[in-house]
Amino acid sequence: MHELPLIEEILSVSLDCAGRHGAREIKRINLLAGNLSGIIPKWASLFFRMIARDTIAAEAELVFQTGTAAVLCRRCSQSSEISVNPPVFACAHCGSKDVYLETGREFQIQSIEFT
Amino acid sequence: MEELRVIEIKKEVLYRNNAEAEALRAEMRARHTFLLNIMSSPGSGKTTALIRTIAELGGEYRAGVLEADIESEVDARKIAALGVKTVQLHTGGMCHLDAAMTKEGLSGLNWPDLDIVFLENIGNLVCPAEFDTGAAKSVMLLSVPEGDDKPLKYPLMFSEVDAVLISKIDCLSMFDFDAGALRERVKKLNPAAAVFELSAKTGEGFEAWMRWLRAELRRWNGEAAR
Repeated sequence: MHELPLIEEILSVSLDCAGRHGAREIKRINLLAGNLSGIIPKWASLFFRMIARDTIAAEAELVFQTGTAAVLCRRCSQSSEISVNPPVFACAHCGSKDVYLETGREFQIQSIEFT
Repeated sequence: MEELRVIEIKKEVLYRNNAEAEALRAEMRARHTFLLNIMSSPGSGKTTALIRTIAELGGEYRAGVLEADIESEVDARKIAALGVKTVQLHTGGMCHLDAAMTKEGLSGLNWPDLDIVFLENIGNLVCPAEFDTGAAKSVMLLSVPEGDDKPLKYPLMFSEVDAVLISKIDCLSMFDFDAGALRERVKKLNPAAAVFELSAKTGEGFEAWMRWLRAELRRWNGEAAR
């Protein structure tokens, strides 16, 4: 998965937010990456370290929380968690394939911690 | 010790692009202009399929084209030669288009005067799928020589599109391409996606694709008219 434009956006959003709050140093950026987002924390952190050099986010730690993948069934209206390796888009309750993905692909900035 | 402050954001990383894309989509809907995002690997036949699609639309709809490439005017020249308004976008090494770049390209086309704009995205099966361009619909091409296992390797692209066009079916006899297997794999990832098998060279299979496109165009204008 191509992380760099996403990591650049995380840095940009973080610096904007920090700037508006008069931050001196960004300590931590808390992220939520769904099971199906394709984000690999190790690479995301490495890219971030590279591009954040010489900014107030240079020493910031990227903390990743994993989100589960779940589908909502159009037939029985229930949500169920699905396996992701490989992804199986079927309802765990009734077996229907008429489902859509509720969660799993998100990649969100939850919060920023700074001094 | 300095006080640690926490600011909650709770937004998608790409929320700024998503907001821009939604705004663009709403504006284009209001003006009855249909933007079609076309994605695929390099060499799958996007430009050839686009040329035939425009020819088959005939004078029915006023069309424009946004060509996105890292370098060169090769594709834009081919389209412009048909007498179609074309803008060539050079992405400066970026591997995908986002809403801001799409909007900039559109401004070069005077798009409110057009019924349909075709956005030929950069040849890349990975990055373009992640970025909402503000398009009304998005489609991808997968050519026969590329193989039927691509949905397994590039699930996001296949999951995000509204239609998959299997191109170069005139070459089926030369490759071990199982169209049935491809359809099954697409259906697992994206049950709502339409799948077409066609050849831009011979025209085979184009009727079904054009029927889908015209229906989407009518639906787009119908929604705006409400």
